[in-house]
Amino acid sequence: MALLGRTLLLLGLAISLYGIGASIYGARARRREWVASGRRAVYALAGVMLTAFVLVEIAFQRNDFAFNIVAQTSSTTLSTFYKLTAPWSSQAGSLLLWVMLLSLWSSLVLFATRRRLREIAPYATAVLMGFATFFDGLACFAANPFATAAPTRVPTQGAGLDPLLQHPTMMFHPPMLYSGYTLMAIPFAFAVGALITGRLGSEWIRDTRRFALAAWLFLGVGITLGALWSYTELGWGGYWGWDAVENAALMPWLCITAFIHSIQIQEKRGMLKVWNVSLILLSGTLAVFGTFLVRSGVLDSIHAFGASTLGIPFVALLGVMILGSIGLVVLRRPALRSENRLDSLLSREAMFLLQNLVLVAMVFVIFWVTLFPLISQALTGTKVSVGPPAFTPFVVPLALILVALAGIGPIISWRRATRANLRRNFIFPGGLAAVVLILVLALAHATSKPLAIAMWALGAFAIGTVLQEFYRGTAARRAITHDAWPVALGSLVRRNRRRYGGYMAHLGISVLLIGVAASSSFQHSRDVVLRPGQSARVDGYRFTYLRPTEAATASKIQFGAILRVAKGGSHVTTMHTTRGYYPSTDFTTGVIGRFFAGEADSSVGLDAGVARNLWAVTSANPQPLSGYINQGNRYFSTYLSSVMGKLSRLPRARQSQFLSQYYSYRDAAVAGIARRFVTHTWPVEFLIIVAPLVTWIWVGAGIVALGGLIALWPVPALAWRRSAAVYRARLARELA
Amino acid sequence: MVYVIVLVILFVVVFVITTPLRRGSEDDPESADQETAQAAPDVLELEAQRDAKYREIRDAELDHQTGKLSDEDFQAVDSNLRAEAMEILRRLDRARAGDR
Amino acid sequence: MDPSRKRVIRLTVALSAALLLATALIYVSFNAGRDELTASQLLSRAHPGGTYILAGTVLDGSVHQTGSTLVFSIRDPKQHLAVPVRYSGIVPDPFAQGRAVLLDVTDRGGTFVGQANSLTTKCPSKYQAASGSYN
Repeated sequence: MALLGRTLLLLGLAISLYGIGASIYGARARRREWVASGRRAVYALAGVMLTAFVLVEIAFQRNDFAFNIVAQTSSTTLSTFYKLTAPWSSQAGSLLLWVMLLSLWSSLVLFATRRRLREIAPYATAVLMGFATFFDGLACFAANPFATAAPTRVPTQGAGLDPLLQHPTMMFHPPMLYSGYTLMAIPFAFAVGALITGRLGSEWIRDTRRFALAAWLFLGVGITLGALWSYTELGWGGYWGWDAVENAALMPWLCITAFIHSIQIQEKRGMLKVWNVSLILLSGTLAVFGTFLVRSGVLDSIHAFGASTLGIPFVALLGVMILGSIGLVVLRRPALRSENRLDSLLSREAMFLLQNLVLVAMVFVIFWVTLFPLISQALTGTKVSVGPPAFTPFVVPLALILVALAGIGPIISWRRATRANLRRNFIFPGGLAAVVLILVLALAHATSKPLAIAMWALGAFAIGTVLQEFYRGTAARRAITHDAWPVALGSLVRRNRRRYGGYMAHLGISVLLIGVAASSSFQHSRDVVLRPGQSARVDGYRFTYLRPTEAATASKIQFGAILRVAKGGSHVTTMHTTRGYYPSTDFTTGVIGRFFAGEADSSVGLDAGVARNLWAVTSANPQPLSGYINQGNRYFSTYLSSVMGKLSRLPRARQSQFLSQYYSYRDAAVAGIARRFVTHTWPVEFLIIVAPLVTWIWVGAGIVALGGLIALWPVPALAWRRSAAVYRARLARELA
Repeated sequence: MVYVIVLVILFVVVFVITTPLRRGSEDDPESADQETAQAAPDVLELEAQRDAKYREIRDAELDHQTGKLSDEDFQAVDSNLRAEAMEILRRLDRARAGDR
Repeated sequence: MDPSRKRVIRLTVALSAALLLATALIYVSFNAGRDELTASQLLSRAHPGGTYILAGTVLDGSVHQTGSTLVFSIRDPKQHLAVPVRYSGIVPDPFAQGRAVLLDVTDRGGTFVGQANSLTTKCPSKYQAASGSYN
């Protein structure tokens, strides 16, 4: 099966190279059959890569430890669900996932545009196949998922999946992120095609805009799932830490957000063509750059870059992408001239432009601060750590401007807006913002956090404009159709998916940022050591450590704590937090000690509410048991060495019988020692966090995703033709 | 067994990829069925422009209905947009005529 | 105002905003930034009472718990050298031997004491060194 897999990867490489050649030859020689053949090569690649990926999944399900990636990231005790997710926890598996997703999405776009974009599509096919060649090449020669151990050295048990990755979000987070990255390659490829052919009009934008939106949606969902994982699994209580891998995904997302806005200006006004192709080329490059940051380990240390087998090829690819992009844009500058000028600074175009500048500034800030340790290390030899505090003074004000624009954008019209109209549209949202501001200042005594309060007021303003838009749109629809409110609302959204999907995204992002502002500015966290029966007070809540808990299985020992939470004497909730220890593969820690010395993971005690989240994690550790553990280590190893001589003279069957007996005693000893944890009253350390409005971060992200889906959902071709026919008829009358 | 599977996959891949080459450009069903497939790239580009313009007219109408454009602004914007749309339609007609 | 002058003004405003942002960014990153030291750099630079950021990988087999204090050594990525550190406070889940970590340490006359809750670890899922390299 490994041989088959390796052959499929090589076949994929051959298909990709053929696809590049056939497409370019077909385009240059105007031989349509070669272009069609190049397009079919993409479909074939998708089939081959899907087959290869299924082979890897089968190897995981069958515990085929001859495969190195199975031996390194799985074990027989891993559940079926996590065996499904384990392939992308390794370098090689991730690369395969990348190529597979790229080939699937590419097939989809090329199938959808097979009768259109006749000049651009072949070059786009070549670019997409170029990416496939690169990533498939890495999978073939640098990190092969089908690499196997020699038959004599196949382990009987795998090292297991990192416990931190055993979390439900890991089923979706990496495929979503990679889908976002690979989808971003599609508008990138078509932009390159458009630049090469010089056909820079509306056509390529119309046909690939949807993929840019899909990239935005998938990447956004991926980022949110990562934040959720961090919040519920990592045991530090946060959802965003400005970690390099987080920033690697955020930068292309911000960039594509700018693109899906500014592209509308080009669609409508024929303006900003240079800016738009630059944005999409930058988004595509940042997507590959993100993969590079995560996969090459360059940020862990500049030295890792040289050691990683992936560093140099990635830098070469990025160099080609950046230089090629700049070259193409410069070459086509005459064709990218604007057809129109900005009519007025008081128009939606101007707001979009401003929003674009803010987003690009944000990308630049994040890029600089993320890479600063690397830059400083290259310049001075010493890595300089800037950390999260360096992001906030820049990102927070920029985010405030963005939310304000998210509110202003929807109520300002294209081309020109009159002040009187604008004023009229400002009354309701502005009033809402004022009410929120007054309420917060009066009730929350929160004057010490001006930025958070500004975010709430601006967020309320943006939410107000969106609600007003929905209300007015529905009212206008009702005036024509006399439908009931829900029916009118439904048909309004259905007929204007892009507009109202977009508004929902604005609503969601405002809700999300309100949650972020509240939870980061007004959270109370305490690090306390408690004995059973003792309690600690955090933000008015009384957390009482009721009793310790313990659970020991063959694969994991869990120490935990039951916490009772009360406020003002009345019971709020009871929560359970545990810390699990996995057996270590390091046998020097002792026969018994090994079971307490491996990797650890936390399970968070969480009470999520509408207004606030109560979050607690224990760092209960086996330290108080070390006396028993050492005693057990000594006893078992002395016993084993004393019977070793006798044991070696026994027949094989008796030997294994003896050993299984020995192991069952050992397991009983481990369980017995672990149980001591609950019979004693050792002090345990807790991290307790009370933070407001965290739930709204996830709700907001959900609204954004729903808005994205609505905007993305294809308008039935029939409905579009029908509405186009109406305009055509009307215009024909006027023409006559 | 593996070799058989590899050969089968290789055969399928080669078959899929070379189908258009074997058919040749003349009777490629993908190019022969629809009028859009016959259309010159210019026509397709103009059609995309036309669709975007229709969308823009509809957006302006909605902006007017929801009170973002005053009556006189809407009149101005709408007549501009219609003029632009008509220009695109004229060019589209010319392009189609030239194409035949 | 004629349109071309308007454009010049807009461009000037945008460029000065960009320049301002860039200057502030460079200023902040050089000022707020603190050196992230490797084990060997720490040993050569540390003075008693000083606080430094120490980065490196946790030395295999060096992690021990004594009371509420965690004792481990941080290895220099390039040299065969490690610095022992005493740390108490929240230990992030990804902490394990062989993992890349970062923490604030204070030089207490020859022993390095980690500041409570300053220990951070790199994301475990992401980077995989080719086996045998990155030492």
